[in-house]
Amino acid sequence: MRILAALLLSTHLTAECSTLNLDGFANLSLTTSSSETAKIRHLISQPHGVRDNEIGLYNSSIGMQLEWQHSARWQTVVQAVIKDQEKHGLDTLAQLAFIRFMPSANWTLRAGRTGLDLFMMTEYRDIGYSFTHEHLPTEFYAIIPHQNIDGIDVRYKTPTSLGLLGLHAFIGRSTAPIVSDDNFYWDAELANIKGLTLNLDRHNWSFRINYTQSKSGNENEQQKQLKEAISQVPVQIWPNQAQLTDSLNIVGKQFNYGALGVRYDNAVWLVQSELSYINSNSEVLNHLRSGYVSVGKRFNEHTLMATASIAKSNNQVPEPPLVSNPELDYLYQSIIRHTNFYLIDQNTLSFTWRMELNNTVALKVQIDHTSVQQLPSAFYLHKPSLNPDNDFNTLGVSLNWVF
Amino acid sequence: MLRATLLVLLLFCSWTQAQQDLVVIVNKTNPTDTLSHKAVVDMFMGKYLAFPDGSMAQTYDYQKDSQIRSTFLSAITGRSISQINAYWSRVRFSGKVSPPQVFPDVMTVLDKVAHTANAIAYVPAHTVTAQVKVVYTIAQ
Repeated sequence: MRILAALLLSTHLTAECSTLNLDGFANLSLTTSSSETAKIRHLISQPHGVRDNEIGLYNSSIGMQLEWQHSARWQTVVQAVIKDQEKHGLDTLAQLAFIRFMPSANWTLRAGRTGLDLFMMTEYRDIGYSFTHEHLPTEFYAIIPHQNIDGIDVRYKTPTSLGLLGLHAFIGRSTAPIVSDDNFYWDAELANIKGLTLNLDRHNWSFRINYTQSKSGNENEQQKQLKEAISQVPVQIWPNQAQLTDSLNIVGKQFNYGALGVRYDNAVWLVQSELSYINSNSEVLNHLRSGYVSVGKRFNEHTLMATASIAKSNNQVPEPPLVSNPELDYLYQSIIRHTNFYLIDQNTLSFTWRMELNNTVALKVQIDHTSVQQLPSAFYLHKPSLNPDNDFNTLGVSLNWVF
Repeated sequence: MLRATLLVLLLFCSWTQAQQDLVVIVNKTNPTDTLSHKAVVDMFMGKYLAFPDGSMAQTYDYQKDSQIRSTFLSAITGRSISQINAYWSRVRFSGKVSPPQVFPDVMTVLDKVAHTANAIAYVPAHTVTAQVKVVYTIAQ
């Protein structure tokens, strides 16, 4: 209670040896889309989307971060974020909760819930003020719902003749919800996460390479039901029944993530690009390639930026049973819906205008034109349609600030 | 007469310049005598908190909306304070690095640096005392 009372009086408390900082961020984001079929959202965790010129505030969020600097070497950080999610609780609220120890200028150790260092902007994707895009490129960032990891990490930094070199190794586990049509909800667990990121900062350039491995730690109810149903079908009717069951058996399957990133920022020109390759030994996500490139220029308080992004997977459609009847056809269509969840083939061209309203508040407007070769798509929620529209525009307007 | 006027003008300009200059200071017991521009940027942008001898540095700063912070950080990075705040929001909210400890005014910062062996901060040049050592100067 004493801490709470003190926080009300001041956001920065300085004691003889320690400091308590309370900082926050907020995003008021309005989205509308011309899409008739796809309900637009920016992350597959989101339970809401907009279509058919609806206006939604589903991409808005607010967060607070409390940081206790015990000393120059020890700190505790807790961050809570409220945003559009299917279920709200302490676990979904807490984005960060860790202890950091810096034994020297070169080494940093953290234990607890830290950001997942998967792609260049994964760790700060909720902080709209920190990036130029109105929202992160859907084709690259929407597919991975996991943003944090419960575990430990170690970071090593050293100046070299090439620039400031950083190595970041992390292990742990992570859970995040995946939400889809027909009330599909899966709190997907990534177990045994092991990742390594190499960073090089040189003048205005930043280069990044990441490789991360994980194993699926759980399966959803729909997968259990499908496996049970397939096992009832005789092998004579469905010869690849065993392979199909195995491909749906996701627990323990390995998922690999590889990413390359580069950023150039000379205070006037801004160029950023990332490429990623995700694969697994499961038919649910066979492999997915994605990438984007953004080019922007600053004009005093204004930044104009263009972004092209693309994502393409090669999931295979399973062989149908040799016999057709209503029950088998329904089962086959259910399996296709499931294995096609990550069947993605689309690209987006975006134009962003960012305006600095003051030193801590920015207004951003972004127009996206998306061409989709495959609907339904994991990225979106959908209105059932036999004739989906494959080209649509999305407008996003957001006010982002840090305090 | 003209020479005397020019001399007075020159001295006045130098004095005004000194009033505007910002300097990076450390504790007077710190073995560091000078810092490179890159080392100053790395320390105050939270990239690498070490003195040339490898010992860890503790950076001190001012409130987010203070004029001296805007002037100093813009001068060393060549970027607007909005860009710098966006950078710090990436670093701070991703939990990578703690921001520098913040103090309300120059006198407090001078006092803290004078009493902390591994401290580093910046102050206007004309406020420097004998208790601290200047390791880098930014002429405005």
